[in-house]
Amino acid sequence: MTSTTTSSDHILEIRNLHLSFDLDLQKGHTIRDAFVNLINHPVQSILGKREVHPVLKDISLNLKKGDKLALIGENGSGKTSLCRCIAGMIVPQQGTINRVGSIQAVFSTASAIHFSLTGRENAYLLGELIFPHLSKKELSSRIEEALDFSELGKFLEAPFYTYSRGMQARLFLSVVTAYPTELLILDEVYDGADEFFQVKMQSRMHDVIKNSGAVIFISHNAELVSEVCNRAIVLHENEVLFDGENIPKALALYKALHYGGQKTGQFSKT
Amino acid sequence: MNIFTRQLYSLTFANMKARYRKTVAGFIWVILNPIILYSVQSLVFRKVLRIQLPDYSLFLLGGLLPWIFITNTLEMSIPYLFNAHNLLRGFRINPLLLILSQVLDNFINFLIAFFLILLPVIFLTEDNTSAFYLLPIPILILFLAIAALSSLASLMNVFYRDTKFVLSFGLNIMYFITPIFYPVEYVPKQYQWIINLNPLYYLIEAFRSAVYGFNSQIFWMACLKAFLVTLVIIIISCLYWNRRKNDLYYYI
Repeated sequence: MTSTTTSSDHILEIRNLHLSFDLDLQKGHTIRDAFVNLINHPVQSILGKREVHPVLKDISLNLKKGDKLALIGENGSGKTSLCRCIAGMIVPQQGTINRVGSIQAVFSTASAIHFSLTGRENAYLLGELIFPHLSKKELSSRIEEALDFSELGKFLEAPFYTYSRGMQARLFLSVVTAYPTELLILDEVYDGADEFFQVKMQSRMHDVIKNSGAVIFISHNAELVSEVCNRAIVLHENEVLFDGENIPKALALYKALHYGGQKTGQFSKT
Repeated sequence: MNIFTRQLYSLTFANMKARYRKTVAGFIWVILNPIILYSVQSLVFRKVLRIQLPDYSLFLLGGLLPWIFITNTLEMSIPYLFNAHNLLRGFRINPLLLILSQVLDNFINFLIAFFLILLPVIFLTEDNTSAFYLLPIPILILFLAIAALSSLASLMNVFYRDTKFVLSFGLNIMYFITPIFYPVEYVPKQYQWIINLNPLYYLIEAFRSAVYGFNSQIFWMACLKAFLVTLVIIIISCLYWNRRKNDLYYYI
């Protein structure tokens, strides 16, 4: 389903993407519940249809070099799922995704590989996992630079479980931005780090964005979106509602969905 | 080296580093568990229950050590996928990499513990009827089977969160109905079918037939059966992963 094309300014091409997942919440989350159900409703639990929950309906989009795309939408509209599909974590049931070059996707900054290992050891492991194509030497110079940037100093030799949420974010973001990539996906990753670091991070992020081919942002921060992005997609109820370069219009549309008394998705929270 | 192997190596190494607390003492701590278990069982079955079997120490070694590997690995890797939710959600990482690094870590422990016990036991055994040079074959089969079983059960534990308790209970029972500390010949004819239905029995038997009372024909037959069982486990595991690997991200 995934292939690589050679066209130079195309970074990503998605055609008619459909995605759904099995939602058997009513069956419970344990073998015990499954057993109780089997005894109480034997016919239903064996022959009953699984409930399929749609996540993305017929999504098509193209991404060119230089696109800084904001993905806006309510909770549960499918933003993260779309990005996970692009990153190759989820394989859609229908549709094609053509990617060119490397992709770096970040969905959470509180990730450690081993909480009992030090920050430095975790940084190296993380580097090895997200930049697998780099040589040992290149990787270690990039990681050392990132560790310097993180300003964690002596905490780098402390076990990761002693880190605060913000320190975790500092370490993670520093490593992730250590090497430019063709397509960068950032899913609400600015949370956690303190203000000083956010300012510092944004200038580094600008560098990475400049060196990256294209960026996809998921953010609820209108200010950040208008400042950084040159294109926006509004997702609503698992479909593309708006796709264009008029950021204020996209944001206004999103706000209207929220406050306009329109029917919202079943998972939406305010 | 391809990327998967390199990452697997790094992750396994990190696992071991975290587990051993980076010291030799930490390593001894981990290795001590199977050695003590083996010593106690060997003593009880030989001196208290007085099982009349020549070279019982060697017999028990061939059954108990793979069993300890199976239970330790399953109990460590099953909750792992669910517990690693921050990691899996954070960025793209192959979930199988995480499980395999757990299996490999335990596998290395198993090999070291096995050979540490094997040396004195060989020394004490008079009549040597073993074919240790053939051990890599059943060991490889055992590794593949447990890697597949761990992957299957670990993913199941994401959707059914009491899998680890049910499995731990099941393994306790299996310990008694798998010929580990008694030979299969002790089992009365009318109960043999219980043993024959037990997949873990085939995995252990292939291993043991190289360690104890080696007979070329029996050994290769046992390996073939163990391999077929492993193949079935791998196929089931692949089918389950294929069907539910997307759902993983919505349940962790």
